[in-house]
Amino acid sequence: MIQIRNLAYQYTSHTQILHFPDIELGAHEHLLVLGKSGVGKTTLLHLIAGLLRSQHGEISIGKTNLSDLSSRKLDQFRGKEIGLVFQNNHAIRSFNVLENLKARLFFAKKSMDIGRIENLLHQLDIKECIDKRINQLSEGQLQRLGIALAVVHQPQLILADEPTSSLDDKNCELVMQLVQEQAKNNGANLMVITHDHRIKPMFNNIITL
Amino acid sequence: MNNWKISLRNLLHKPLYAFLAIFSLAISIGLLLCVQQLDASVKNQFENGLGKVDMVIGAKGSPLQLVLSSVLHIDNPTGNIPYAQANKLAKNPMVKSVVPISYGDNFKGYRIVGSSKDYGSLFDAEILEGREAKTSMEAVLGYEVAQKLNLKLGDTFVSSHGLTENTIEEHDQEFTVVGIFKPTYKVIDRLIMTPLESIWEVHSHGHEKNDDQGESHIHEEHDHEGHNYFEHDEEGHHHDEHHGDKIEKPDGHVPVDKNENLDKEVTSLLVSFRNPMGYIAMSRNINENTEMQAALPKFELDRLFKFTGVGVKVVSWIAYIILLISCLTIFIALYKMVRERAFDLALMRTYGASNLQLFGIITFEGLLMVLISIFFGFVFSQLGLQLIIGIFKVQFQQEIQLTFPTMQMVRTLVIVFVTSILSIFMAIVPLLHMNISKIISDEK
Repeated sequence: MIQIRNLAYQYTSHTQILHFPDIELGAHEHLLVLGKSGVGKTTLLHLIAGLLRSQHGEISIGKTNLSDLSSRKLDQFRGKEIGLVFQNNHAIRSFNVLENLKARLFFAKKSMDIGRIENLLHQLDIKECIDKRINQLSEGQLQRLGIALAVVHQPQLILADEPTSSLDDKNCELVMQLVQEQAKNNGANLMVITHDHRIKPMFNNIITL
Repeated sequence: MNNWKISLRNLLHKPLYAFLAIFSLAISIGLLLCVQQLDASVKNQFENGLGKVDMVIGAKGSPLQLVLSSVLHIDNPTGNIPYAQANKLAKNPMVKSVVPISYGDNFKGYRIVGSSKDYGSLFDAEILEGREAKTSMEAVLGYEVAQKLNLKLGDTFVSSHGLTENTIEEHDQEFTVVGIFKPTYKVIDRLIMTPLESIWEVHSHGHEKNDDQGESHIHEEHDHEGHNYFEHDEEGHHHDEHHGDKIEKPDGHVPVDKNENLDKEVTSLLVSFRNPMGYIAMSRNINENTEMQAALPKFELDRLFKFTGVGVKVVSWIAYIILLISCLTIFIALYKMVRERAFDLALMRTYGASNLQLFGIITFEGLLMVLISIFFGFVFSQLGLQLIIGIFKVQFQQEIQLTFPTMQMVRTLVIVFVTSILSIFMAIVPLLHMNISKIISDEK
């Protein structure tokens, strides 16, 4: 359940105000947000993730209105209820794969279930990497770890920022399949923000900025 | 997974960097602690070494030399003074005890000191085995002497002339070991104690044999100078000038006759007072009105420490500068870490970590470095001290008992701690201005 109304954001008083369309998503619904560079795609994603605070309008995720939360509460909410997938997948470099997932759960204050983590890595086909260091992973493995990090804590909403733009067609489809599958498995809403039109056929629900 | 573990992981991620920061901080902490403890231990050793000696009376010369030679036995004597003076002084109501000492000989480099039975009590020395020396040519060994020279009760040895080891000018008479002192960590550990009469006896012979030797000798200044300043009991004079001959007289007179000894000489007198009132007046009186000098050991040592204190201060300042640089290293290490891992930290924020939690993680990391440094700093200081003590032992034949100047060390560690906490907090400041949204979108 996602509701966005009258949302607008301005970086500084000299820059243009970015207005965003209203969005409403029911339980488990997926949405693709398309838009060219510079229209505020990432801004929208960061506003929904609570990394930026909106000056105008409302964002509700589940029963929570983000503007009602203190910054500490917002950190906690983000940790528990939102999973982020980035274009270039990043993980904490001083940890190995398992430790990254454990750290993700630790920061979200969620219980650590090794069985679940192993199962998740198995689904993403990177179970053999569980003890590998981040710099030992291939691009593809890192991408999958990125997805794992976005869903391991069973969030309400998965936000993906240009997850496929650096991938070839085959991998593009594969990654989107994995993301959608994981969203489904976790019963989460999925919102993908991209300029990559290749993935249009995979969504029923599309808006353009 | 917890904050500590995350900190530890971050620290181990760049081990060389962490090692360098920790190592330099540990070295400076070690140097600081080492210098301070050594300074305190040496001062303590010296002050302890004074025992209950409040004043030393000896021949004119440097008062510091008199204290160093007669109390701490690390210098040559200034000369001799008449023994009669001891009796005179002892009658003064302010004086608790007067212990005469006389030395000028050694056995394998260890000084042979003639004195009365009271000498041991000045330094709280107790007998470990055997008994006190009662008659001439009996000796009680300091603990270290017995250990090093492997001498046991009943062993005999001959002394040689002078204060350094030599075999050329050996005396004829044999000393017999009758006792060994318990270790005191004071100067008495490396002395060979014997009754005054032994020294006189050895040198009455030596006098005839080594008459022409020019160096400072117990007996050489034995002659009449100085005598005229004291009115001793006339009885003292009816004996033969050559007191040593006494022993060889067929009537078997033992030379412990008090009166007879009054024309003899000793190197110095160790005086302890009943109350501190007498110090100044009596020492001034002696210095102005006699051919002798009186030195106050505590005063002289304070004077000495003022000189050596400069060295300690210089080394301490160097250590503080290194400490400052080390704290700077820790600051740079953390600051770089905050900068370089900005993305990791931003990532942790997207994972739900609060700013405060990241503060905690980095502070833990810094604290971990500081605590490890303090631990190794302490270890380094103790190793360094052991080394220095070893050198002292070999070079000066002096055991040093380490003291823990707890307050001073705690103060130093508090300074270390506060400085490092300060540098940790300075490194964390950029976190306050961290714009997660910007860092994450910039990384794309």
